[in-house]
Parts: sequence; C-alpha cells; structure tokens
Amino acid sequence: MIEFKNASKSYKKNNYVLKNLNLTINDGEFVFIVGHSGAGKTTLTKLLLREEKLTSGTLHIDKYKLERLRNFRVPYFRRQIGVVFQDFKLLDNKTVYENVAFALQIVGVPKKYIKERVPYFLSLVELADKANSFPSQLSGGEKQRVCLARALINKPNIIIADEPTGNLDPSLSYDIMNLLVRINQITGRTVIVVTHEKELVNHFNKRVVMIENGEIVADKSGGYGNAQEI
Amino acid sequence: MRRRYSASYFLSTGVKSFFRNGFMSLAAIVILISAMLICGSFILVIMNIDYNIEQIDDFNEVVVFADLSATDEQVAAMQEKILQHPNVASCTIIPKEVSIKEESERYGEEHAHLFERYIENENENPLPDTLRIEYKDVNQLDTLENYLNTEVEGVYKVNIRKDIADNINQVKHVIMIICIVLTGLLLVVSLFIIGNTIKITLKSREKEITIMRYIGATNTFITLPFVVESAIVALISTLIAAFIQIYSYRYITEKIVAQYGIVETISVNQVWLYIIAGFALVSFVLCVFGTIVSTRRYMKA
Ligand SMILES: Nc1ncnc2c1ncn2[C@@H]1O[C@H](COP(=O)(O)OP(=O)(O)O)[C@@H](O)[C@H]1O
Ligand SMILES: [Mg+2]
Repeated sequence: MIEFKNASKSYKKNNYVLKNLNLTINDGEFVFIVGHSGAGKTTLTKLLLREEKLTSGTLHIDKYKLERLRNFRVPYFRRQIGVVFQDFKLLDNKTVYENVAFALQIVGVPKKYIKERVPYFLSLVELADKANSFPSQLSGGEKQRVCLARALINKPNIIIADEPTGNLDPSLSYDIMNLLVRINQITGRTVIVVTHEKELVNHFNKRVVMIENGEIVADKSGGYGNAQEI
Repeated sequence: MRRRYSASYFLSTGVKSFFRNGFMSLAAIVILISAMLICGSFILVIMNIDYNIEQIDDFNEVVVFADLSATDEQVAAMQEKILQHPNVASCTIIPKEVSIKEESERYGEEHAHLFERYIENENENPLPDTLRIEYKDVNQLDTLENYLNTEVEGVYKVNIRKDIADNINQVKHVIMIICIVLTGLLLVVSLFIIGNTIKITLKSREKEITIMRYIGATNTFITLPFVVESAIVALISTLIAAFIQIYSYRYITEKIVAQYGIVETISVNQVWLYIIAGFALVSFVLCVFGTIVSTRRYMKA
C-alpha cells in the first residue's frame, strides 16, 4: 500500500511544488496521475522512488517509511518498484536480452534464474523474436516494451511509469497502455501511470488522480468522464 | 533465493572500461610510474648517502692534544674523563714518544736526523701527548666538542674533522627537500589524472549508473568496477616501475662500484623487496583514494 499523508515538497524555500498531499493507493490498483505540465506529477514519482525526499509529511510504501529511510537502505527499497521511463533509458551497447538481464545481474540474481526469467518476460511483452537486436534496431514502441520487461523482471510490487507514451505515436501509445493494464490484471501488481493523454485515460475506465498546482483537485474512478477540461 | 554477486561481473566491467579509456589509462600509468621512479630514486640516493656516511664515520676522529706540561697521570685522568661522555666509543692515548717517531717516519730516512734530538731527549720533544677519540654519532659532535673544551682539564687543543660529514649532511638535506617537494607535486598530479580518468568513465557510464540506481544496485556494486579499473592501473604501474627501478639500480650501482672503488653502495638484494612493496602501497593507496573521491559525488542515494 502507498500512503501519502500531509505530504509536501519544495525544491526552494517556501516554494511548494506539492502541497499537503493525501493519497492512498491500495495493492493491485491501477491509477492514472494526470495534470498540466508543471503540475508536480514527476515530482510525485520522484518521491515514490525516494529520488527526492519529502519536505514535510509522511509517505509509507509497504513496510518502508520513506520520510526517514536511511540512504543505505534506498537500493533495497527500490527493488520493490519497477520504473518505466519516457526516454526508455536502454543501454545502446547491449542487446534486448542483455538489457533486461542487466536488471537481474545488478541485484545479484544467479545466472540460472536469469536464463529462465528473461525469455519469459520478453515473451510477455511480445519481444521474444527481438532478443538479440540492439535498441537502435527497434521502434519506439518496441523500446518501451523492453523497458517494461526490464521494470517487471525483478517482480516489483509496484510499477511506476512517468509519461511512458510521451515519445510514441498514438496507436503505439494505446498498445503500451493496454500492456500496462494487462500486466496489472495478470500479475496483480500496483501500476501507477503518469500521463496527460486524456483520450487514452478515458478509454481504460480506471481511477484517475488529477493534480493541479501541486494539489489533488480530483480523485475518482472511470476516467475523466465529464470532469473539467485539462 | 540466495543472491550472489559474481566477481566476473566486476572484473569484466572494470577491464573493459580500462581498455575503453585507453588514453587516460595510459596517462595515469605513465604519470604514476614517473612519480614512483623519481620518488624511489631519490630515496635510494639518500639511503646510499646515509650508508656512506656511516662508513666515513669510522675514519672521522677527534684528536685532543694535552698540555705540554701534562704528566702521564694527568693524561690518564683526561682519558677517564673523556670516556664518561656518552658519544665517545673509544679513547686511546698516544704518548708523545710515539707521535714523534711517527712524525719522523712520515718525513722519511733523509730527514731522520732532524728528529733524532727530540727522540733521544724526552724533555726536548715539542709534541704533546695525544688522545684519539672515536665517537658514536656524527650529529652529536658539537656537544662532544663543547665537553672536551670546557669539562676536561689539561686540554691544549681539540681537533675535529667534521667538515666531510657536515658537507655530506648538507647535500643530503637538499636532496631530501627536493625529493619531498617533487614527490608531493607528482602525487597531486597523479591523483588529479586518476580522478579525471574515473570521471570520464563515470560520464561515459552515466546512463548505466542511473539505471542501476533506479533498479536498486547498491553503491558498492556500482563502485566496484571502478575500483577494479584503478587497481589494474595501480598493478601495471607498480610492475613496470619496480622493474625499471630495480634493474636500473643494479646497473648503476655496479657501474659506480667499478668506477669509484671507495664508494660503497647498498646491494640490490637488500632493497628490491622494499621497492616493490613501497610502489605497490603508494599506487594502490593513490588509486583507491582517487576512485573514492571521484565517485563519491555520484553515489548519493
Ligand atoms: N529539481 C528541481 N528543482 C527546482 N524546481 C523543480 C525541480 N524539479 C521540478 N521543479 C519544479 O517543480 C514544478 C513541478 O515540476 P514537475 O514535477 O516536473 O511537473 P510535471 O511532471 O507535472 O510536469 C515545476 O514548476 C518545476 O519547475
Ligand atoms: Mg513530468
């Protein structure tokens, strides 16, 4: 479970990017975070990853109390979370297979498990036939699926995607979003997707949290519906 | 499931990065080797000077002349008094009868008649009794001289030949200062170059490190390949520098001994292990220090 309580964040003194946030996300939920550019969505994901620290308030994720998590525990905390980046962040000198295996390698998973797990997750994102390709040989949508496989492979409890479709064509965006929804349904992991693509959000009929000027202005199920325009 | 980090990952990543940074790695190695060679050579020179000063000490002596009127008893009392000084190793009395004969021999047969008078008639002997002192420590000569001039009775004159030791000591001090300054400079430069090499590696691997941090790699895991990389630099530099130092030292000392018989040198057998150990210590400390300093900035959580 993710629980923000009176959470605030300011990068500069008295200039709050997020103000007094109260938000609870239960295990297995699928949540869209929406809002204008500059609303504070990325800051929210950075707090979730403990890339940034809260200025005040509390943030609890499962057993971790992030407001007082010691630096040396941060790597172990991050292993509970899979991240999907807008710019993919794939290593160009590694193949698709190696990019995904890398995530297992660096947390010390034995080779035997790596050989079992990588093909399974590549097929889950429908990339089994591209295992030996390099990122430069892939389309944007394929790159994002590699990124997704890499985020999933350590079996994190939570998947966070900040504008995962920001660099993709609309039709590919739909595919990726669909994949995220399916992963949520199949694996039961919590999935948090930050986006500002209204039509996409409406299509999936999920919980939507709307942020404006650092505050939650709407939090309801079923997409934007007839809510105010963004 | 038990998690295990494979040593091969750190090794292969470190080795690859070492070769990818070919030029900077080479620069780091060259500068480290120069630093170690210069520093090592100076230390060897100083050690050899010290070694020779010890040898010269044996020839250095202090000579005390007693008053002409001093009796044998008084001279014996002087010897006793002199032997009480802590810096005195031995003190031998050379009676004036012996001195005058030595002097006569020094001038040779054809001048022997000039000395006959003094040798035959004790009271006409113009030479005083002499006390020859061997001291322990050349650096404590001043206090000994002072002691002889003020505390010992019946002293006519004290002769101290410490100029050789003094000169050598002065040269040694100058060399030492040059050595310290040069070594310091070179260490700073090497640290800078090693740090820069690591920074370039960090830059080229920034994306990789970012991903690693997001996925939950520990700082140790991220840093270890860099440590491996700089350990390779340290290892190669140590081996090359020690090889050059040991063989050139052997060559030079053999040449010097052949050329100038009087100069004694420390045998290469006595120093080669210290050279390797010293170089290894210096280069590894430098490299590890450089790595930690330059990676620390990237290692915040
Ligand atoms: N590292 C930072 N330092 C200072 N201000 C920042 C930093 N990151 C973001 N901001 C500011 O915080 C506000 C919210 O940014 P962000 O969370 O990136 O919004 P969004 O992702 O919704 O576009 C913006 O005004 C932005 O300028
Ligand atoms: Mg953003």
